[in-house]
Amino acid sequence: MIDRTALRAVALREIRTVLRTRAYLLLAIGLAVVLFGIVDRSDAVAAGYVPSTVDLLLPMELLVPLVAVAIGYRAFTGDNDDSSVLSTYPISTPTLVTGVFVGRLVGLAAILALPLVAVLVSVAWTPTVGSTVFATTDGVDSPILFVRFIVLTVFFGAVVLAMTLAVSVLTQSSKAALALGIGVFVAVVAGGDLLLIGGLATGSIDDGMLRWAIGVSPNSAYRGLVYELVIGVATAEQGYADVGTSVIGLGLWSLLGLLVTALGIKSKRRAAIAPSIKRHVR
Amino acid sequence: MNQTTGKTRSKRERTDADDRDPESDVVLETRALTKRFGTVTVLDGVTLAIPRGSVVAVIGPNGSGKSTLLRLLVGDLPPTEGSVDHYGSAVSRATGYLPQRATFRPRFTAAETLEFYGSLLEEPDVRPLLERVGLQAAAERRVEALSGGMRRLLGIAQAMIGEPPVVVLDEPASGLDPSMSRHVFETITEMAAREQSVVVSSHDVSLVESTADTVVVLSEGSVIDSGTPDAVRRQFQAEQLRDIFDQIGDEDGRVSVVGGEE
Repeated sequence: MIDRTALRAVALREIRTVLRTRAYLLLAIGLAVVLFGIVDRSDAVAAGYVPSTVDLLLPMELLVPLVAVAIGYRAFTGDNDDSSVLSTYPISTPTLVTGVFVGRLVGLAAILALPLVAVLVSVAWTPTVGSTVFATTDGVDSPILFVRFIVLTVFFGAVVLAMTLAVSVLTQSSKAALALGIGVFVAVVAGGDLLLIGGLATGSIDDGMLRWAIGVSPNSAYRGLVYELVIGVATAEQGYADVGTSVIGLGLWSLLGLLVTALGIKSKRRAAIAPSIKRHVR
Repeated sequence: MNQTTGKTRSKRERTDADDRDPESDVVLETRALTKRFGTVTVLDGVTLAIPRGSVVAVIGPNGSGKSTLLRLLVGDLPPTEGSVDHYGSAVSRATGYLPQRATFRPRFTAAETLEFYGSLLEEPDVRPLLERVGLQAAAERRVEALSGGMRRLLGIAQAMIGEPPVVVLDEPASGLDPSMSRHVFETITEMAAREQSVVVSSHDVSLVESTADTVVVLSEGSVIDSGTPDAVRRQFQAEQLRDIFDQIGDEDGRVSVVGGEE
């Protein structure tokens, strides 16, 4: 179903596209400046890894969807839409979708992770008690915890990217894709939380259900995982969210995004597989 | 009016694709191909048979359904009615296609662009194709730095990757200077000499006249005539193929053919 050679070719093309797009470079620089500005103003770098995570969590909830939408919304539109030509090559829909997703994700991961790694290095260079301890023991600040934060942030970005690819393939133009991409951004950033608040207000979600319900919305699932696996480990205060539900929630959102993307591609290619078009091998 | 190409007029009597003679040289056949967008019929009952190694030119005024026909042939659009049948041995790429508006990644060089498509067929050495279309000097130039005509040439080279038995080119000479247009049609002749069948739409009827084995004249979605360039000229009582454009479409928008059917 997945042809490795074609997958590699498609993924490499996407990585090169991201690397050669000046707007993405500016986006990466802008993100780095914002993140360093935040930790510098709050002296979080001097305070340690977990304080830096706490300071960066809320901004990342906004910035990660923004960057993911920027990277993904044109993946299948405008100059990147060569579906007419690609339909004459032996490349399956799963291979194409996976290749585009993996390639764009590599670009997105670099844009998100590099500034965070730079923050991690800054914390390590700034003398603090925690910066010399490589451990995850409760109550101890550790670079491992910040690495977890980076991994979770990239995971969150992957989820939003998958949803954005679906938007890209379902729209006919870059403008329409951008408009719908902004819709995804708003839905991810505010929609899930608003639904949770609404559920709590109306009583359809009670306090006991909340730690599971948090896993349903991508944004709150990400926040829940960061609390459970990074902040809570250092502060020994856990139980905010259910880790399993949050991971499954994020995974399902990714799968849904990729599935819709695949169906969109398949719909574009419906002609090539239409029963009225037949190939007779002699 | 359904028509078939001149070379295969007798063979099209068959009606069932599965009954086609294994020795037949037809590689692509359409039957009563119809495409509607909503209530608008863009293509109406087109029946064609494309022999191996032939150049079939589809000509007609703007909006006559040429691009739609070509998109149906490559499977870029599903037909509303009718069928498209491809015949031949199992190949990794059955049809090469140059769309009317081909898009390539602007920040990739011409060579990288072809190498990407070549890699999908595990055919890494695609640079000779750049030479065949006359783009070798621009191999390392980015797509965004290529002129419109050069992008067409790149699109033609892309359509040739994998030596597909059928190559469909939608306005390949669009935006090219006369010399490059001639070169493109020479390349098309070369493809036919390699037993590839080429279906090409073009407004450059003088080059069509000198290159095509068969001309299919489309008007308002229907084939109003087909045959060798000479036969079509005779049918329209035209000195040159370009003269038939003057005869297509009267004031009511109906198609009239001098010496032919209405």
